[in-house]
Amino acid sequence: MNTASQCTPATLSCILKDVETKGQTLNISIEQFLAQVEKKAYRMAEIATSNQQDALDIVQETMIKLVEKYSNKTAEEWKPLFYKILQSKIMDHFRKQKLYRKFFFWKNYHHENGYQQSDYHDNDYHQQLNQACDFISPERDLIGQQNVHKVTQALKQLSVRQQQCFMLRSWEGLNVSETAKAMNCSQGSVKTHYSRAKESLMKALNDE
Amino acid sequence: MMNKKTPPHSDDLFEAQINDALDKSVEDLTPDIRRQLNQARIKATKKSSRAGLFWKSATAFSIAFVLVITWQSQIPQNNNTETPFADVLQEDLDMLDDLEFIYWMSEEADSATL
Repeated sequence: MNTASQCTPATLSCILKDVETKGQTLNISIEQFLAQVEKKAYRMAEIATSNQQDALDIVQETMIKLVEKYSNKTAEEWKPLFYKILQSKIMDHFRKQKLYRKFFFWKNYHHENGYQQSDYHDNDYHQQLNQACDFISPERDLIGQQNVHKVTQALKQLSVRQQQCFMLRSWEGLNVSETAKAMNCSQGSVKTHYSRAKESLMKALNDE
Repeated sequence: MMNKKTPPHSDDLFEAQINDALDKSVEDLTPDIRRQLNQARIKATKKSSRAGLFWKSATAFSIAFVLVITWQSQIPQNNNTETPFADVLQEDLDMLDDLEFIYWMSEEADSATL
């Protein structure tokens, strides 16, 4: 853990953002809470499944379950519960996919559901580039968009557990204990997944 | 586990860069995805309010049903206690009248034989 003298401005701003975010969760309705987390949750699910529609379905099911079962809990409890349900739904998705492939091995899982996985990757990238063209300084933003694509692609190369662990710990800011509860694993496993994810990401992004 | 020891500062910077890229990827979500997320959220919260209303109505109905059953079960008890007692009294009076007549008949019979 960094001491005060070792804190960089980036770290301090992250801490302040974290405190502000935690304060904001105290006096909000469940709908406001869902509005805060839905986009990040979608991105996590989309990186895990590499499919927009599956990710949307997962996020919707997560929201429904949180509201049905846990709306009576305090606002502080919603965040770890939400991510626990999200992780569970992502794992359910992969179990269903595995079962589907076992019984219908000749069919492509996403093709049968109306979309091609490979088409999606190209469409997403071109969509992001097209959006970049709308900006005033297209060259600068194009580089930004390419970085976004590089990072998301690097995350998709990781195993589901490693990528989800990294995003929960680093991006969402959950501590080791909260991440372990969300992922339904031990704190030791969380630390292992996290360090391996970091190592793989550094290698993948530095090699490019 | 890691062969290379990277200084903590560059680790933080690296993570911050990845997080910035992920934040940007969220900011750049298409309007269609945003709309679908919005709809999902509204659907989830509407479902909850509908479910809550259903359970409240069911609870209110159950309480009302129990109250009606309890009230109805109390009303017949008062009538039942009166009726058998009245019948017994009437029966006793009739029996008493008969007994008096029988006694009088027996006395008349005795006086006649004498």
